[in-house]
Parts: sequence; C-alpha cells; structure tokens
Amino acid sequence: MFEFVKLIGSPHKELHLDTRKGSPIRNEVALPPTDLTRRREQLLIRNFGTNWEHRCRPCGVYNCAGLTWASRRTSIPEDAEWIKILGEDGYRKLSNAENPLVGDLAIYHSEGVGFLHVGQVVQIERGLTAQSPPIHKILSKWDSSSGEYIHLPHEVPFKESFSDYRLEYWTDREA
Amino acid sequence: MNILDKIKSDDFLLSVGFELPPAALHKVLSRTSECAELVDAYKSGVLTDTTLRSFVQQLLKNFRPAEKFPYDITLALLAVSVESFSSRFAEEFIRDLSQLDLAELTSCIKVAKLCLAGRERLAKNEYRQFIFPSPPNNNYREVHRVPETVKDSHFENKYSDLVTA
Amino acid sequence: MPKLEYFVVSEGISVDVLTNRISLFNVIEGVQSKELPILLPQIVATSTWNKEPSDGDNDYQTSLRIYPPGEERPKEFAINFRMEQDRHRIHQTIINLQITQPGELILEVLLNGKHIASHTVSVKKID
Repeated sequence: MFEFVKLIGSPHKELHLDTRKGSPIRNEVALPPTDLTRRREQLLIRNFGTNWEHRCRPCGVYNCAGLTWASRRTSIPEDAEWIKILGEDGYRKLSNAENPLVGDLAIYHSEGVGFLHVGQVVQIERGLTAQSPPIHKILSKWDSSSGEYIHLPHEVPFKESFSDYRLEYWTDREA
Repeated sequence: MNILDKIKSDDFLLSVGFELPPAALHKVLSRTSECAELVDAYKSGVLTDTTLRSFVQQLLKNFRPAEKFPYDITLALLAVSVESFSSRFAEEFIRDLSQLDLAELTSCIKVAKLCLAGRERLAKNEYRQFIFPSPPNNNYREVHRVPETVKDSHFENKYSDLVTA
Repeated sequence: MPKLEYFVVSEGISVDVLTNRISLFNVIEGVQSKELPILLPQIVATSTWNKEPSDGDNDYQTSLRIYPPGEERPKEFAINFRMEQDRHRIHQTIINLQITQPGELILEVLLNGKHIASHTVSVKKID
C-alpha cells in the first residue's frame, strides 16, 4: 500500500543520544513546520494561549522532550524513552512538601494514557499574598512544529481533551 | 460531506490541535466523532476495503519528500478506526503503515504501531474438523434436541461448560 | 500456561469476518431419541484461551476427549497451538459422532494432558 512513498520518502534522521547510564535514546529530527501546522498553532493560541508568552517562532527539529533533554537538537516522541530518561538520568518526583525550583521539570500525564507533555520551570514568582503558594512559569514547545511559549502550569492546550490530566514536578536535585 | 471528505478537511486536521505523544494521540483520535462515524460506515458496509484503499492512494498523491505529510493525522485516524476489525484492509493497512520509517509521517506510524499492538487483543481462530465415517445404510434415528425452555426434572440439563479448573 | 475463558459445545458457530465476533448456535445440553443408536451429525467444541504473561512463544497442546455413554475408551482429538494473540479460540468440529446408549456424553478439554473443563450432554431414550 505504501510502496511509492517508501521509494521517494526520507528515513527518519536520528542523532546519537544516550542517557547518563549509557542507554541509547530513540529520537528523530523533525521536519520544518508547514502551512497547515502554522495554522493549527494559530488556532491553538487563540483557544488556549492568549496569556502565553512567546519565546520563539514555530520551528521543526525538536519537540517538548527534545527541548528538555536534547538541547533543541532532536525530538523524543516516545513515552518509553521518557521513562528511560527519568530513570537513568537520576530524576525523582518532588513530594508535595517540596517546592519546584527553576530547572525542574513539569510533567503532565493522564491515567491510562501516559505522558502528555514535559516542560521546564523557568520562572518562579511570589504568590499574590504572603500565604499564597509561589507561581511557577513553564517553558514549553507543544510539538515538533510549534514555537516555544512560557505559560502558567495549567494553561495547557490539552486541558479539554484530557481534563483528568495531572501535573507532577520532577527534579534531578538530591532529596 | 461524507466521512472520507470530512477526515481530510482542514476543519478536522485543525481540530486535533497538536501532535500529542502517540498513546495520547491514539486516545484523542479514538474519542472523535469522526472515528465513530468511520467505524459505523465500515461495519455497515458503506465503506468497503476497496473504497478505503483507493482513499489512501488518493491521500498519498499529496506526499512530498522532505515535507511533513499534510494528512498524517488522517492516516492515524484511519488506523485507529479499523484497529479492531479483522478485515484484510485493516490488517494490511496497519501492518504496512507501522513498518514504515519516514520522516514525512510524524505521528501516523507511531499510532499504527500502537494499533498493531492493540490488534493482539483480537482473538485468533483455529479450526479443525474430525469426521467419523457415515454409518452404513444410515439406519440411525433422528436426534431430537432437548428444547432449551424445558426446565422440569424430566430432563436433567447438566450443562457444565463454564466450569474451569 | 494459557487460561481457559470458556468451553462450550454447540451445533454450529460463526465468526464475523469483519469484526471477528463469534456466535455460537444451539448450545447442546441434551439429546433425546425414541431409538438408539443415534447420530450427531455435527458438534463444535469451542475452547477459548487467554494468554498469560509467562506464555511467550511456548507450544501447548489442547485435547478434546469425548466419552460417549457406555464406551470404555474415550475418543481424543489433540491440537498444538501457540498464544500468538492475547486470545486464541479453538473450534473443533466433530462430524458423525455415534451414540449407542443413553447416559451422559461427556466432552472434556485438557491442556498439556491436564483436565481443565468439561461439558456434559444428557442422552435420553424416550418412549
């Protein structure tokens, strides 16, 4: 059924990428955005991102996990690789008593589905009152075609399709 | 607009939002009304294997090397929709798609891999037949099956098919 | 070892080519006849097995043992299979099974020689 596209298409470009323990991480360098993906992003901004702070224009190459773990060089689309990285790069989930710091990870997931997104804490502001918890700001790239945005933890584009989503903060800092 | 036109329309392609990780995208697609509509149309025979095959071929005419395939999500949706069918098209489409390694197809290959794994949940059927020779002159009497509504003690309905060790 | 989900003996089965849904027709609970011997033109024994995590690529043998009433030695039909899918249905069709006496016709399913389940059909002679 796909003989023709197999002949003319390009195989995924993959970079050599390992965890700290040396296990290879499957990845793929994404192609640049298209007109369709740009229009999709405009719609996403209109629906969910009126408060997002724009960091950079839509680009290909990397996705959210590639932004977080591969220095914007490639995409890491598969959940299994995320699990591998978290385990082998020495990450741990923060307890409720611990506050995330700049550089920690915001990981979004949904029951029965797995990971939805990973972003990085880039800014922490004081709460509105002395008793209020601090406000975290997250740096995200929604997919391998989107731009980068800084947003509040719950200003995410999957909040309707996965209303049960959960946000966990992870860190590589020692307990 | 028929369902096949709908799933290649800009409205549908824009509605999916963005590329989620494969498992999440599989879930989102399986919950769309377009998926339900495709399943119904295929089950009822409105969409046949031939129609779907030709639809895929038409879509692939828009494939350009080194450019993200615009109907990536359409192919992913099709894979999700036929995942639980045991037809030849479903088998071939999901298997062939999941075996590709193409940068142009961002999500549909990964979703097809999940669909392929999901198809392992489908039961495999194995048939065997054992034939005893027909009795000579066929002088055996006709068999009357016990009516299933009979529940009185005259017939002892020992039916232990669900007893497992 | 695969786990038996169900074992049913019926007169016929049908598996939908498109959806893979199974229908069993006329589950056999008992037969009656004015005279013996009688002939059962077709019975289908369906055993459905679920894959267990440890099954892997192992080869299993399931046997259908039939004990017609009054016969000392059972008739045995064996099939080897692997759990390639999460669920494996085995349909064994027996054509022209002869019953010479009233009593209990017992169909037993075994896995690797071990009893797993049975289905009993009462055979009655009526006046």
